[in-house]
Amino acid sequence: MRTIGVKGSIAVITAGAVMLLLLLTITSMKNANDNGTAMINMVSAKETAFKAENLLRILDKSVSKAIIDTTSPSNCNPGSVTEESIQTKFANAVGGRNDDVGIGFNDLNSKLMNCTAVVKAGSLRINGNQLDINGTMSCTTTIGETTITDERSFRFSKEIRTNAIDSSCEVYDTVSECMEQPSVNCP
Amino acid sequence: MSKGILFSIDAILAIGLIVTMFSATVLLTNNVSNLGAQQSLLHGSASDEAYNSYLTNDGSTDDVVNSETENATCYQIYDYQPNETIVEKVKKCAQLE
Repeated sequence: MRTIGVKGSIAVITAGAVMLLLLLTITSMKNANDNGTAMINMVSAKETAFKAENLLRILDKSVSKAIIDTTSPSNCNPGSVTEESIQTKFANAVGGRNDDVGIGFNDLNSKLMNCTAVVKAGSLRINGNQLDINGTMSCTTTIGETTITDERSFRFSKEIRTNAIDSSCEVYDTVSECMEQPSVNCP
Repeated sequence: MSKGILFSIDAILAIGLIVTMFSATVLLTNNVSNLGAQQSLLHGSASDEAYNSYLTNDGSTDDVVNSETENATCYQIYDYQPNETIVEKVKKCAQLE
C-alpha cells in the first residue's frame, strides 16, 4: 500500500491554501466591482436629479419668453400665447445645451444624458393678465445597462404687467415675484 | 530538478509566483473599488459648492481644474437669459490632492 508521506501531505495542504486564496481573490474582486458600480450609479442618480432641477428652472423662465414674444407695448396681455409656442420655447431650452462632452441636457456624443420637456395638452389657462401652464419633464442617464430617470410634473404661473413709465410689457413669476422679461430683476 | 528539504526549488518558485500574483490582484482590486467612491466624493463636493454659489448668487466661477480626469471633476449650473440663450452661470471644480 502506498502512502503520500510528509511531502505529499504538505503538497495537499499547499494546494488547499492556494485554492482558498484564489476563492478569496475572486470574491474580493466581485465585491469590489459591485461596490464600485453602486457608487457610480449613486453619482449618476445625483447628477440626473441636479440636471433635472437645473432644467426645470430654465423651462420656468422660457415661458416668460414665450409670453413677451407675443406682446407689444400697446397690448400687454398673454392672450396670444399658445401651447405650441410654449412647447417651442421648451424645445429650444432643452436643445440650448446640447453638446458632445456630456455637460448639457442632451449629450450628443455618448448619449449619456437625455432630457425632454412636454406641455400638458389642454392645460394652458389664461385669466386676464395671468397665465398658467402644466407639463412634464424628464432627464435620463444611461450607463451601461443601468438607466436612471428623473421625471417631474410642473406648473408655471406668470403675470404680465404694464410699466407705468414707458408702457412696456413686463413678465413676472407669480411665485418668486421676480421680473423675468425683458430683463431679470428679483425683489 | 533541484530538491529541498520539504519543497523542491521549483515548488517554492511556484508558490512565490502565486503569492506575487495574489498581491497584485488585491492591489488592483483596491484601486478599482476606490474609483466609484472617489468619483462620488468629487462629484458631491463640486455639485454642493456649485449649488451654494448658485443659490447665494455669489457669481464666482472656479476654473482651477481645466481638464476633467479621474482625480478631478467640475460641475456647471446653467441659467436662462432674457434673450433666449442658456449660459453657464456657475462652475465649481473639485480635485483630489
